[in-house]
Amino acid sequence: MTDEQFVELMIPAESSFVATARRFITDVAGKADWMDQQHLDDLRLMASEAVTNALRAQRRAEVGDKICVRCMLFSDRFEFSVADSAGGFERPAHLDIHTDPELSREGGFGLPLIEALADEAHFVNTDGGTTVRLVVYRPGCSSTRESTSTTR
Amino acid sequence: MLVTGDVDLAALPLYRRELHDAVAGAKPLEIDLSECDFMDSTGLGVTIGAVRRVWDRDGEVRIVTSPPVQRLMTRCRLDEILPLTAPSVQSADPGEVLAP
Repeated sequence: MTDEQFVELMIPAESSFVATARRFITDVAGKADWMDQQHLDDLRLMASEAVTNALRAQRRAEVGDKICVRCMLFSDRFEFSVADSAGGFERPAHLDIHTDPELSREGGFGLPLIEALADEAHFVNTDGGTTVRLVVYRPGCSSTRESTSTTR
Repeated sequence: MLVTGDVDLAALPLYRRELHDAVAGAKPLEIDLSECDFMDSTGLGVTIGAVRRVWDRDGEVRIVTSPPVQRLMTRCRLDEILPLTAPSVQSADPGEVLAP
């Protein structure tokens, strides 16, 4: 394995392509010899949440641009990013997943799930959209479990 | 109600419609997700909505999970609230539980 491998996929902003993005991300991640099934299961869920968020954001903004999914495989980590063109995103200051016994909450699990599963989660407002970059480290390699939200 | 395959954004309209019909029909309701290979938070939200509608009518509901679904429920701490029947062959590794 080289130090860095980079693969990119552009998907139409259609719900049927969420599964395509999931498969793409887990297929690339699976190239790492340290990826176990639990890592891959977590990545599958993170991929679905990130791409679904991008797709829904574009729907709300009435933007039909393709969504860019990038995977980067390093010797010590795997990263993927999902970039939309929905005009930017404000990450809520406080994310939690608490559900009360009356089940009054049906949504809002996606971002907390992403942040819980990724070693690093970065939400970057770019020109005209948002890029979510998620990092999973190889076991034993250093990671500073963090989440950031920035604007470029 | 038996659910197979992946429950994500693409499957959501069908899953919501079928669950709606199931909630109106069989009592007690069993949502059998044992053959569900994947579910994300979109499917989770619809499932929660169905359970709540049943509970609002004092009905009974049971959810049979597959390992991926059980893991998702556990991560979202819904295993503490929902009437889940875990997979019998091997229990899923609950992994990290999300902080409240």
